[in-house]
Amino acid sequence: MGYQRVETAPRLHSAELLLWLYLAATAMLFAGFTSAYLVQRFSENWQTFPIPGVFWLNTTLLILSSYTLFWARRGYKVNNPWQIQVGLMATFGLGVFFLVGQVIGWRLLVHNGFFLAGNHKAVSYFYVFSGLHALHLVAGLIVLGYWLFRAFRYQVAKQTELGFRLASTFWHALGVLWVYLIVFLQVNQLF
Amino acid sequence: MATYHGTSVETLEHISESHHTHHRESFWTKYIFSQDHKTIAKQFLLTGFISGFIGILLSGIFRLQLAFPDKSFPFLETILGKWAPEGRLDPNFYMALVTMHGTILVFWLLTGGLSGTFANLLIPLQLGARDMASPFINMLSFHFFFWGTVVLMASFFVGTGPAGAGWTVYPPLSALPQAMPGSGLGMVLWIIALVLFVVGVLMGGLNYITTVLNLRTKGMSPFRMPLAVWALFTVAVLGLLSFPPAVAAFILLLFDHSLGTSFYLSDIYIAGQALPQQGGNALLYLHLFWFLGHPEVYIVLLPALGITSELISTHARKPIFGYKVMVISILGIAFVSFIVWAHHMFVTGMNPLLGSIFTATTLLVAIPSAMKIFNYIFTLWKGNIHLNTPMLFAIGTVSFFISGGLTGFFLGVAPVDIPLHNTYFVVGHFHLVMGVSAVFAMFGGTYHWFPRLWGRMMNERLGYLHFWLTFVGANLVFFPMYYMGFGGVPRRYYAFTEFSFTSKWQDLNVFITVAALITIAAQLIFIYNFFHSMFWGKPAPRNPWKATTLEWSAPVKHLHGNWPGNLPTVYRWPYDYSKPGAPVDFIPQYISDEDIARGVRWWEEDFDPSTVIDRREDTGGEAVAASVEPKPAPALSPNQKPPAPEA
Repeated sequence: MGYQRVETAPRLHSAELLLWLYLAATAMLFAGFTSAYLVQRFSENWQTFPIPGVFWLNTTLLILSSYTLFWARRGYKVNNPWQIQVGLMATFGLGVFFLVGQVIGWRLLVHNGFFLAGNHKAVSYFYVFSGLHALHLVAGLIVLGYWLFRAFRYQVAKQTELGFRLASTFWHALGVLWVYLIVFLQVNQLF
Repeated sequence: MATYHGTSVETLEHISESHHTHHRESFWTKYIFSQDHKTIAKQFLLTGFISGFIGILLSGIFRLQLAFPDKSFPFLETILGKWAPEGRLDPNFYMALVTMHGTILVFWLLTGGLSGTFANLLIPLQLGARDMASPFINMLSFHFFFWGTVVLMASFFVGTGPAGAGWTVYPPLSALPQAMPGSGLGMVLWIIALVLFVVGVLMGGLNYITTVLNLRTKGMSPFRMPLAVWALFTVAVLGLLSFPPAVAAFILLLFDHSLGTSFYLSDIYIAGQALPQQGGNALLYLHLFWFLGHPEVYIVLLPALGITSELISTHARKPIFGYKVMVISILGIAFVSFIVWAHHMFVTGMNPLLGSIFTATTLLVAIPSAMKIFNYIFTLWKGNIHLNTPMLFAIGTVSFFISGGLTGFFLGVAPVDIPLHNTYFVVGHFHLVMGVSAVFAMFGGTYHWFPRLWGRMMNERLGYLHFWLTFVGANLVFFPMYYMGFGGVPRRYYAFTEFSFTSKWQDLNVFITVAALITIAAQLIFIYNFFHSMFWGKPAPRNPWKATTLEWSAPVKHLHGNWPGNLPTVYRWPYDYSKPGAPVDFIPQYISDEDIARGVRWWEEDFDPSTVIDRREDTGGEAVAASVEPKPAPALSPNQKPPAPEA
């Protein structure tokens, strides 16, 4: 008797599995960073600092961008090219605003006398975490830019389902990562 | 028609077909930017071996210094220039040599070289896949590894020399550019090289995991996978979990080194001057580093033991003893490796209670390790042992795993480790248990799979000579180090002439150096054999070792896609050697009981496995062989109705 086809049929497409494994590696990277933070957080000389409100505004923008991306994906499901284009454009725009907002936030920090270099660990970590997240976000914007380009050429269709899904998973993951980081950093400033 | 994630099986078959048909290949696409896993395996092997050879040459230089600290060797000035004025090695450069030797051998030879080579070669071939899940990412994986190698080697040519803080690059030595010459630009290049290396390893690892989970051929259930694949898969998971925190450690180190932060730095005086950095903690680096560093030992060892399982079973013509126990021990070792890291830090003043916990978890490693050793011995027991080169090296691996591993008991127990810490006892221990043992598996694997890689056999006589010189040599080099360690001789010292408790070992140091130089010279035999056989070796038959696993059913000449027709279907586990009632002492995995009843004669020299593989119409394995890079289908506009999927 032959074997059933089902036996080796994967549950997740290889590309999707690769992306999730990549995200697991990224999660481990930031788990490493945040555990380093926790180790130092309970040392003697630990100081806190006020996180400028603009970072919370940025957080809202990034959460909104995830929503607009959902909306764009829905447009794709109901075959509405206009919804895809507008949704993607909004997502991309919000992503850019987020980055600009982060730069404003860093400038505010510098203005208030909180620098990367020096002995204020909480501030140093803040720059490292938000900087590395911003680098990841630039990669996310490149991916979104590619899909925006395709959307305007009417090339987002059934055949591109997988690629588009992967791109949005990546973008949402960047949002989740940022929310984790900002909540983590904020909570550690409270006490 | 069946659909699969919105893509019809027909499309998938089209993809897998397009995947293994030949494209016109230029030199660049065939050798440099190849996406064929077999070529990438060769790239990893060559890069690994070449950097490994450079690594052991470095040890030859610092061994000369240790044996003859007062002698001048004019040839050193010729090759090292300002680092060996008047033929005498500069102390700073001695540190750089030790650092680079460790870095190259641990990461480049035994991680990138070993896993990169055999995961690339074996995972698709032994599982019956056309290629890796993403051949493109696989190619990138090698290129990151390669450029990491270039950056690391480039650090030999910067004015202040390569990194010199030891292969573990502990701060503050590594974090302060002014600490020593090797903490300057060389250190920055070391970090960049390591980050490139980790990215390469992770890209490879993601692919290995995905390929094992998704692309096994029909019938290849998890417990029919060869142990080498089990080991390589587990190692990829280990790497995925442990390398990123190390990258976090390296990034923070780079910030401390070059951007003025103080994550790891506090209370430091250089030449009477207090540095401004306060509040940092060097132990934080140690924790992050060893959270990788200990799993890293098994990232090195598990592939070596997986390869050894294949070699011992094949060349003893016996099924591996306790297959499932072997799988469980691989998983057990992997799990325990994550909860032992602080045994590298017993002398950092940790709470004794914590020390006892880490002692206990460390000693746990002995259980799965001992299970493996017993299984190797019982596989050999009453086997029809063919003492050819791969088998000799496999037995060598087991031998070193025992003689190096037993001393792990001493070092794993905090009160014994404290006096032995940072002595030559440790040097002897890890060189035998993970260095030489893994290198032997890599040699064994190379001799065994050389015919699969290059279609030719390596020379057996030269192989014997290489084995015996290296086996005896490595024991003569590293065994005496245990005695020196008990005598309290510390590692990483430039010369042992200054103190009476170290200088009394000077004769032994000379002995070790002579043995080391002979052992290094013996590797020239391997290099000659390797390159000579590549071009002029005896042409290999398709299945030279009469092995059962799938890689030997593919044609000797490499095809992109591995099998010219169908993918093989698997009917049995990988160790059907000397099965009672079988006509010969091996039954390949793709031979079914019906084939045996039909009188298929798979053991004959001119037998072509595709006569069995291709006569089956039912090739369900193809359905999952779709790679990540499908040919882009012609785009539809969103308004255009997509073709309705067939039921």
